[in-house]
Amino acid sequence: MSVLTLSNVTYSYEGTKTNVLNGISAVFEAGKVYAIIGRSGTGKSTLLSLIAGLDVSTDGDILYNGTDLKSIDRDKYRAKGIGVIFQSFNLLINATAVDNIVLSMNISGSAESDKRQFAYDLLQKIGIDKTTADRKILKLSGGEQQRVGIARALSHSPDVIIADEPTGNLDTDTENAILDIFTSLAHDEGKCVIIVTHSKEVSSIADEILAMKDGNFDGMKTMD
Amino acid sequence: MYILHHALKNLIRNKGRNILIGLVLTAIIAASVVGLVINNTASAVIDDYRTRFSSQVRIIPDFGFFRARYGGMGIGYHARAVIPSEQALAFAESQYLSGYVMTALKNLGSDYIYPIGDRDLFPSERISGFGMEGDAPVRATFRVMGNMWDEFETGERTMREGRMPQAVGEAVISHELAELNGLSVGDEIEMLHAAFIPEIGAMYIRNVSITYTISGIFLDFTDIEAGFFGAPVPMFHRRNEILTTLGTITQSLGDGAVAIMLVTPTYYLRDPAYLPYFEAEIRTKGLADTFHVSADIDSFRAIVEPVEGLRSVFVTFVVIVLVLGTVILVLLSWIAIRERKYEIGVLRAMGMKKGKVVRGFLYEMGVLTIICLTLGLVAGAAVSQPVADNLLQQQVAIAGRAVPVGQYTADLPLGFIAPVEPLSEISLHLGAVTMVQIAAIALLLAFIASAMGIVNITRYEPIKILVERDR
Ligand SMILES: Nc1ncnc2c1ncn2[C@@H]1O[C@H](COP(=O)(O)OP(=O)(O)OP(=O)(O)O)[C@@H](O)[C@H]1O
Ligand SMILES: [Mg+2]
Repeated sequence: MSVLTLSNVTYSYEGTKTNVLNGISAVFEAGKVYAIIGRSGTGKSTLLSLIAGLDVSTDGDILYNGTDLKSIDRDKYRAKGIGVIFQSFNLLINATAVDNIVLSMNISGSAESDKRQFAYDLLQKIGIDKTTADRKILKLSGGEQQRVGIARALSHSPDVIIADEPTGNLDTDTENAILDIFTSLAHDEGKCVIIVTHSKEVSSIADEILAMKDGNFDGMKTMD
Repeated sequence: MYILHHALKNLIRNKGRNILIGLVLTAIIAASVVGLVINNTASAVIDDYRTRFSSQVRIIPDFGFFRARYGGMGIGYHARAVIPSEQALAFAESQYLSGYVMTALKNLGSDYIYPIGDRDLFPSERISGFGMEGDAPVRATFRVMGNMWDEFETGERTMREGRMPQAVGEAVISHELAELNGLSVGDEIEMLHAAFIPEIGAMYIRNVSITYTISGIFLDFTDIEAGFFGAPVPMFHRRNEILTTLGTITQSLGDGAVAIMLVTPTYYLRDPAYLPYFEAEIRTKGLADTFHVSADIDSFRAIVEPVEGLRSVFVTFVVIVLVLGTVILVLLSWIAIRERKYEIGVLRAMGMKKGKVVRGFLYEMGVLTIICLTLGLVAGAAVSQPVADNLLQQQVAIAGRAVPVGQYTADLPLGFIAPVEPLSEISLHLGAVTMVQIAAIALLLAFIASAMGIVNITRYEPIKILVERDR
């Protein structure tokens, strides 16, 4: 069943003439892990931004469960429908790790009764202990920040999780633990997980790999 | 709810920045408090001066003219160098006045009672000679005083029996005078005026009789000698003074008789600036060109100008502080917003609606403003209180010297005095006005500062905020 459908998505940044995305079409289904690979600057992060509803395509449509993102409340979509792990984290740097997650849960209107405890538990799962969770993002290492970003994306239990180089700053053990979580989310909980990556390990766990080149998909391979 | 919570946490998270903004805001508020308190105090002080002190009108005869014309003495001179009582009362009916005080004085003789002093000569003494027509004028041995109650206020005179005069025709006399003539409360005394009858001739004199009813007898502790100008004549003997109301002393003598009477009106203008209008009015009401009209504007200025100077210095100070402070605040917020643009982008990326982001900002600024308002008010009040107190004290001292007039209730309709506002009320009133002004300033500044953020927040799609940051 398709959660996201991209048809002929084209995008250029405001004030520029060249299209960063050139009529991309794709279908993303629930219960699968997708890997998007490609050279630096081919538009992977840009594509994720559009999927994340941070902006709308200049041409073509992105459908979320059959509805055009252009026509829905994208604030609500970002708050509830999708979890984004940014390449550059985009966390509130002056707030503590746990506060970042609690705030995200508040914005999404999470029904969790003890949001703070839930956030601590979630962070614990990806290797951030309570003392670290109570530190400001500024005072965390790159890998720790990345994991807070991951926890935030998962905190409101969205249908779609998109991740931009989520393991770029992590050691192999932690990377494997995170990848286990992603596969389990897709295969056990039926989420749609889309990961942009340069890493072989990451693409190896994907159900499908999409290679990007010059703002479009080069071809779609299915992993065996 | 979580937005307020987040805003409060944000205040603490960004301590450095908020302390800086808070300090500027507090300084602005404190400076405004000082400036406004002083401005308002000064205004109150100046207003007070205006009503109670500065605006006294002087109507002074041109003595040179009268001396040249009438030789500086005699009945003719006196008759013309004083303002007729009807005129003095008519002048008082003016919209430019806040009030007036009037006293009157005339000299009478009597064929029926003795004055204290030279008993052998009186009563029935007449003046001969002087080339006047009509009756030989009765020699004045008593002075009748209208609305002169100062001694009752100082305690030099007190009522012994009876009461103060109220109805027309009532008067009080000293205990000594009553003893000498065997008078008691309720008795009538017949007095004689040497009055002009202008209809018959400019120098035509008739002795007109007038009767007073003794409503009370007072004990007199005044210095007897004080009334004597060289010669101890009965007329200037203070125990011979007959005290009555203005209404009684100015009552008509009938038959076209004009009393020779010295009326001393003191008029109080609502504002010194009304002087020319008031003068024009009383000229049309008949004030002769031979009187000069003036108000004590110079000494008013001498007192008010330093206060006004002080006020304008502080107003300038407040304006400078406000302008500088606003510029600094706007710059600070601008820098802060650049810094916070990323934060806004993150919040928007997390799905927070624009309105909620704005609300969060307003909460932050609002709480910061309330804190600064409290601190600024306390600090400002601490600084300005001594200054304001000092101003008020000075004012009390000056005002105390400036209002020598007494009043007596029995005579209120005529001897009405401008109401004197208690100072404590001024300072209370001042506090409320200042508070409102300060709160308005603080809210305005907070609004300016947060408006910067709001404009920024509502301008962009989140992607633009995130991709444009320098990182
Ligand atoms: N704000 C912007 N304005 C204009 N051009 C932009 C902007 N952001 C990115 N680009 C350009 O768009 C293209 C795609 O950028 P994007 O970040 O999507 O690449 P990417 O595939 O994620 O690269 P990487 O693997 O290095 O993260 C690049 O050529 C980049 O220079
Ligand atoms: Mg990228």
